[in-house]
Amino acid sequence: MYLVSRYAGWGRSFWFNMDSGIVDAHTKDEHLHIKVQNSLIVEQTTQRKDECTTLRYGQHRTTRKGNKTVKQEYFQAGTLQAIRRGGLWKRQTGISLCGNEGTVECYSTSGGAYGKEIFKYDNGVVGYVASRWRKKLHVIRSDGKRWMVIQGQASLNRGTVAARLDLKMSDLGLSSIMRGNSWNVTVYDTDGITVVTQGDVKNRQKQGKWLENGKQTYYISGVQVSRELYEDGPDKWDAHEVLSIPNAQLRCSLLNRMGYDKILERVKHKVVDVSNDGGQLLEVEAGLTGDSIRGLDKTMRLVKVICPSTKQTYVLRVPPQIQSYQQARQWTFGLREASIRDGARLELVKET
Amino acid sequence: MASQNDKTRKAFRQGELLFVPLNAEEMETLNPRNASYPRWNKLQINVLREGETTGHKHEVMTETPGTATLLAPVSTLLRGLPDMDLIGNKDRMLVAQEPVEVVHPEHRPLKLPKGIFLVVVQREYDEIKARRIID
Repeated sequence: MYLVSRYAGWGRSFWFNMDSGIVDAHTKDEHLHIKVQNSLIVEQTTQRKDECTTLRYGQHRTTRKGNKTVKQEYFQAGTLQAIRRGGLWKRQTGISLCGNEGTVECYSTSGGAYGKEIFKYDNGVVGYVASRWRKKLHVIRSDGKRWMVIQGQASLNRGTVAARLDLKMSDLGLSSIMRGNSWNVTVYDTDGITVVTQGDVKNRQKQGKWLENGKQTYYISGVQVSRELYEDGPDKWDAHEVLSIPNAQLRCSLLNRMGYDKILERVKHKVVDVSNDGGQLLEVEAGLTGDSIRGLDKTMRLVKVICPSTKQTYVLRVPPQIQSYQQARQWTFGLREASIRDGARLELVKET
Repeated sequence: MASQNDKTRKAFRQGELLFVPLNAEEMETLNPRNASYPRWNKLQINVLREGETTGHKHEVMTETPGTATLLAPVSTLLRGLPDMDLIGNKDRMLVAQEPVEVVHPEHRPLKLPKGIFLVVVQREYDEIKARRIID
């Protein structure tokens, strides 16, 4: 092992070789203690206020608060910090679920994957059992009554499910808990019988009729819409109105529900340019009538793009003088028209 | 950063957000160290943008706390990069001292290398002037 100091100032930095021994470093509020054997760090202890964490590479990491052990993680022999295979690999106390504290125990599969997580309240009631094989997650209150039932597989990782559940978030934190893109959630009142929240998530977006805190709400592709709009259905929607909605997410939601082809059937349009990836530049009649249209464009240039993550179709309006799909796309990225004509472009190296 | 031969600039994208890497010179142009008044303010949050209808957020996640900083323009219509639109009030600057991950409930996580990025919201035409996409 080499001990190196950096940024100490000109001529003050140092380094030296160390085979075995102990390194102690102190800061104002932290004490670091490192044990070295045969040139390898074998143990590292960090003490901060009343919390002390000891890491033994290839064995375990233990965190104590005062005299109490609050977290233990076990590592696979021969690795640095890979989780121990085929059994208990983590036990953590003091985790809060539904306002009460408890202990989480995490188990791994024989192959070293995250297998199962069990939360037990301090009074002995089991809060949940989440496993990679179960297709439903039941979350129980500390008094034994139902709190939540989620249809779908939980995604287990180094963080606990209890810590990821967040009631302040509109999705209750389920986006970070669930594996896959679709699930159904039911939240019960304190009696464990009355349903207060229920609905479907499809493609990671709220979809259809939802009951939220006792109120009926309606969603189309993650966007809350009026009951009228939801129940009218796409057949009654005005295609020009849909294309003119200022909010791109709502426009996308209605457009995808109505169907891109169906919208185009209902408006006068011509395809100006197409791209290899399914994108199009369209000229659509704005459908304006009456005397109040002076100064407004009678046609709209729209660029159709497909999101690589959600696979949903988005339609963005671009200036009427744009002539090609690529120019239109570059214009939406914020490039000036004159610069685009001069060959300026943004090349996306990664899109999600 | 734009290459010298052509005007192609590399960028990353998550949903309606574009991450344009900046070099030190461009950073100095956008946010001069000796400016008589501050052009960008440091934000104390990790949220780049929040959806108006869904409430879904684009958030910057780091392995080590404090290694990514977000800056917001103090006023709109600041001069932007050459060839690009003026800076809008929804645009941000991201200073990442180590690789970061941008997460959003609907999009796959976007891994960004260490560096400085101008975070631009895609824009749309609204007959009078271009406006940033509302989502």
